[in-house]
Amino acid sequence: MISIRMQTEAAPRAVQDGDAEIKLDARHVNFFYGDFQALHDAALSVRARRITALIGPSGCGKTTFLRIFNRMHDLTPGTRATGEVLLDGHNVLSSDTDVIRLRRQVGMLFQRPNPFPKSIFDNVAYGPHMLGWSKARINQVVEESLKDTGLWDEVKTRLHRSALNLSGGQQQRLCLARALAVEPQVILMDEPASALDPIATLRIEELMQDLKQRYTIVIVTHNMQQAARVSDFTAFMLMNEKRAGEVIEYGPTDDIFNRPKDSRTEDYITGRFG
Amino acid sequence: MATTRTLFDQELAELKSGVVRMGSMVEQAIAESMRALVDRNNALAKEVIARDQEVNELHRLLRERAFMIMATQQPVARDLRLIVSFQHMVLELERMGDHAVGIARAALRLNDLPQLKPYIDLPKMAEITESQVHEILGAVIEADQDKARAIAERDDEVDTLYHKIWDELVGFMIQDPANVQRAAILLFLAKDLERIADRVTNIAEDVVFLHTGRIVELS
Amino acid sequence: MAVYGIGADRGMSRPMVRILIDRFFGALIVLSVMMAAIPVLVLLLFVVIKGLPGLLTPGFFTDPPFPQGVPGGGVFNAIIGTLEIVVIGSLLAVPIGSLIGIFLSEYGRNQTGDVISDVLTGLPSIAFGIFGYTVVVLTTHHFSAISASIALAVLMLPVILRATESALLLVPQSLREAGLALGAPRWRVTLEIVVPAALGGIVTGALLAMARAAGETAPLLFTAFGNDIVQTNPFQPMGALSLTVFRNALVPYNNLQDQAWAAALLLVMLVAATNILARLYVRRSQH
Repeated sequence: MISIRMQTEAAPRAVQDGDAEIKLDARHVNFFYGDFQALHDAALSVRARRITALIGPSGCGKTTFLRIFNRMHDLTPGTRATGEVLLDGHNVLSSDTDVIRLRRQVGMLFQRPNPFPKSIFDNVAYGPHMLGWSKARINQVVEESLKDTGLWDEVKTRLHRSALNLSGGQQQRLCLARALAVEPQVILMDEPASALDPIATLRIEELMQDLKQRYTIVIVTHNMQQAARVSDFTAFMLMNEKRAGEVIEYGPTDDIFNRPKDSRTEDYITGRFG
Repeated sequence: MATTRTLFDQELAELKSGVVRMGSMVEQAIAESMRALVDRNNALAKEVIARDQEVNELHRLLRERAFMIMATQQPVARDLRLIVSFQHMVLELERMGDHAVGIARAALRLNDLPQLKPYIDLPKMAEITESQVHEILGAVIEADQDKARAIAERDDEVDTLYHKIWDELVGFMIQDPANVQRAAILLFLAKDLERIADRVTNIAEDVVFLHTGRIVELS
Repeated sequence: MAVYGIGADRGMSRPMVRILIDRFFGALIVLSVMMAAIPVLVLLLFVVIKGLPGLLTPGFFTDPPFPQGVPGGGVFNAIIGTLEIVVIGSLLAVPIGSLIGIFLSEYGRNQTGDVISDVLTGLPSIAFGIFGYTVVVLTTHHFSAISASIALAVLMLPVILRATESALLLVPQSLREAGLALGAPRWRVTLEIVVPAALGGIVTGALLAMARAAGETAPLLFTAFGNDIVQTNPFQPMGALSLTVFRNALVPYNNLQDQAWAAALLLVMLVAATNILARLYVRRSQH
């Protein structure tokens, strides 16, 4: 994956990534909980079929920022987002956005596995069923989604058993399969491995590498090593003096973790952040 | 800067002072090996050779320490660069110590023989090299990349002297086959000095890397 | 904490003080539980002892009451009546109550609903009887089972509503988010994900409400009124077990008083069975 170039100064791997088209473009995003401003002028250009990580200390607004991308913030009363989040050029924050359709395009994986209290099959089939697809197509998409998440061989003999009997790691992969089944373009992941053990975590990370061939992934993570391992681009966020989150530095993961430009980024990733 | 990694910072500081200590041991070894040659002092030459064990031991210790810090603290960015460049620096210093031993061995052999010629350019070359070693250690302590680049520049002076000495010694050999043995030993000795200066340049590159995260070639 | 401090000042060793305090409060708890449980157990025992002979009398389950002074007779009319009144009441209260509960939990979250249901829960049960009497009996000009069912339905409503609401509140928010993040509209998420996940709690609430309604006497007094003949038409006056207990306890005939005790025991058994059923259902739905 890393091409070694015979140059005096080594080229970072993300230089060629910079050419990828921009899938999701957040500009001047401000976010308010009532009177409290939680995000200040946040910007992020998410490139297609790449993994973009949002890192930063607790309360820096990274999860808030992520949830704006598919309008999940609508669910919290009294919130307001201004600015633009362009998905393929269309502003998802505008009032004429079909939120239902948006969320099918921009899927989400949550901090804790949250399978429905239904069978494994019904979990994955929920979205397709809702879209009114044919039985044959649903069967097919369930199988494909489970295969894409490496779960098929583990569950194919018990598809109609309850999803709640699966292990935590399996449940999280099931939730991923459920999200994939409605054929999204972007997948938002909110600390997807924080409730998992190290092995299950690595499986999710490996899966992300496979999935980025077809999907654009944005991941919020507390685990900086995870961000360094999996992502192509990293944005570092921090609260400003008014406790509103800001994007401090955004760039290829190589640069952020090897030679950050902002001293606050360096302090945070080297663990010198108070 | 908040001190959320006190232990780690302490470990890094210890590593750094270890590197500097090793550097000053090597610096002393180079100076004394040259003095053993110029003063025809066999005892001093033997002392340099014996003391290389200590340098090697410190080298081993520092490498282990650096490895341990990497394994337990997962350093990134500045911290990672610091440890990686320290690891590389101690390797270079260890080799410089070996070159000092080479000079001392040459001195022992030459001291048994009548002096071929008065040593003029060799001490001059040694003086530059020693000051390079001394200053590069200062650049490491101060993490001063400009200073490091300036020190690397002086490698040219050493190279010029080396080529001059080379030509002169080859001249001696052509003049009289009886000179060949002593001239050859002196050639190797000059080569050791020249290599030390090269390694100073490598350390200067480490200092630049420490600062910028870019691997550069300074020559 | 204060007791602990005094003990320490007296120079007693700290673990010793802790152990003593622990024993003291342990004993206090056991005592409180006994004080609460003993009256209930005595009452139950009393009902069983007094009611069992009547319950075992031939014809108790199958005969209607005989005229006063005539030996024998049963409570068949009241069993049918209680079942019919409660079932009709539940058919009215369960759908309405759970729908309001769903609305309050998933959409409403307003104070008015809470206040109304709190007031309804606090009302004395006779008030529900008066409601049934005013709304149905006075307008139709005669007593009827349906008026009792309506009164009981209003009584059950807040219980079901509360149970539904709290069962839905127990469904993790992340489950709703998972559904919505798939692009499901809110109503589908509510009906297909949230309600099934809370079904155990909702059913339990409904069963407990039914159990409570079955035991009520006051709301039936001026609604179902009572009927000594077996009546299944909900628009006619109808007997009920609780009415049998109430009426027969007041008459000076031993066989009828025995019947009252037996009817009380039957009612207790009915309520207990419903409660156990509810608990079993919860346990099953948790797996």
